[in-house]
Amino acid sequence: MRAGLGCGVLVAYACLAGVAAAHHSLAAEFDTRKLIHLEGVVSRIDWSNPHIYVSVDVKEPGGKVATWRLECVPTAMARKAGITKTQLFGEGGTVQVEAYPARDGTPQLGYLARISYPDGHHFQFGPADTLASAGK
Amino acid sequence: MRSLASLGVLLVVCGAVLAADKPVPRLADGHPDLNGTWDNGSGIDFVHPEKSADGSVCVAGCPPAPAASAQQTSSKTPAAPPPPRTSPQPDLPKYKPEFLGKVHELDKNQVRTDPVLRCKSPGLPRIGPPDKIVQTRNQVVFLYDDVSGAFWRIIPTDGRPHRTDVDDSYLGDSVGHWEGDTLVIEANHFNDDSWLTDNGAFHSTELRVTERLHRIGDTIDYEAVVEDPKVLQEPWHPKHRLLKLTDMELAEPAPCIDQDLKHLVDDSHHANPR
Repeated sequence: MRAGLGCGVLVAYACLAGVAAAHHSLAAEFDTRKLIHLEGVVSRIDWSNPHIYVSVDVKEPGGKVATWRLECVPTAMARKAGITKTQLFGEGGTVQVEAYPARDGTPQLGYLARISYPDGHHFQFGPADTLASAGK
Repeated sequence: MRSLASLGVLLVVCGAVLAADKPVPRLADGHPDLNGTWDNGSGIDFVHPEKSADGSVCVAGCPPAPAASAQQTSSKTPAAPPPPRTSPQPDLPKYKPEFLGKVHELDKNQVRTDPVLRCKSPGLPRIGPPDKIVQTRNQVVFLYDDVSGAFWRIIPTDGRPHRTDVDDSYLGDSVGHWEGDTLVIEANHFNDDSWLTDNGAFHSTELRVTERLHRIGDTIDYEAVVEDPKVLQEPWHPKHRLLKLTDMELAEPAPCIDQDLKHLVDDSHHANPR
């Protein structure tokens, strides 16, 4: 399990202008120039507004489990995309996550750009096209 | 901006014309039947999810479609320009000169001053058109599924006047009447704890909102006029909205719990579609 940090300039950042739909800029809270790759297990979904939060338990190199809190889109956007709370939780197993870390240094806090499930399908909530440079 | 607003009105009119082929259902009293769940776009018209056969969904930040990429690489012909986009930002209210400084200050500090960011009621007219309408002979009930929570308005249509025994509120006190086939709703008794729209557009307790709903086929043309003679130079006309009848029933809105404002490291914000 790893929490590798990769960097890349997000050319497509403008696409995120309306992601949060909660008026503050995504870049005001998260470092959209960096993508973190996480591997873990979804442990909780907070189906709330103005943002859904996805908790992912990530096993760190020493064996300790750290729970990442990942901000996601508002429920209306998920609903419009046909994504339910149950679907976002998945059916267990290890998920692959790309996320932007919090700019204020809060540990294990990020924005969920993409989550990929064991069967190969994924949900994307932000540009994740810097994966190649993210050390995945 | 005004041309964009005109384009928005044109699109609404075009949509209404397309819907006009279908006769308007009516209740026993002869008035158009406004009952139903209405898709008003929820302020997220800009979201166009892309679904794949394997169950994957891209909600935002989606890569270009493979077909489009292949087309661009296999053809020397320059790609056609994208269709014109309408700004999500409607024309802003025109304030009296002495209030422009306050608007600017609120706008500049929006992440700290916008009531909606703290899950407060957006108020009328910022809440937009209703998501569901329940209509009886003597009243119309508006139900809202909002990012800030569930909201409702009870609107008598039996000719009674505004109440005088209610406190000022976010959605005000409403009474309605029919002008032909158009339901006209007048609302007053507002508090001053909400904004008209984005960008620090505050209002006073002298706010008055008039809404007009006109059903055409399976759509409703929704327009509002906002008056606040204390702070505005002239009535403000938010952009027209076209509501579409939908089979998707409302669900209990998720709780609104701000968890991120304390993590913001700067004041940057983006335009709010509503």
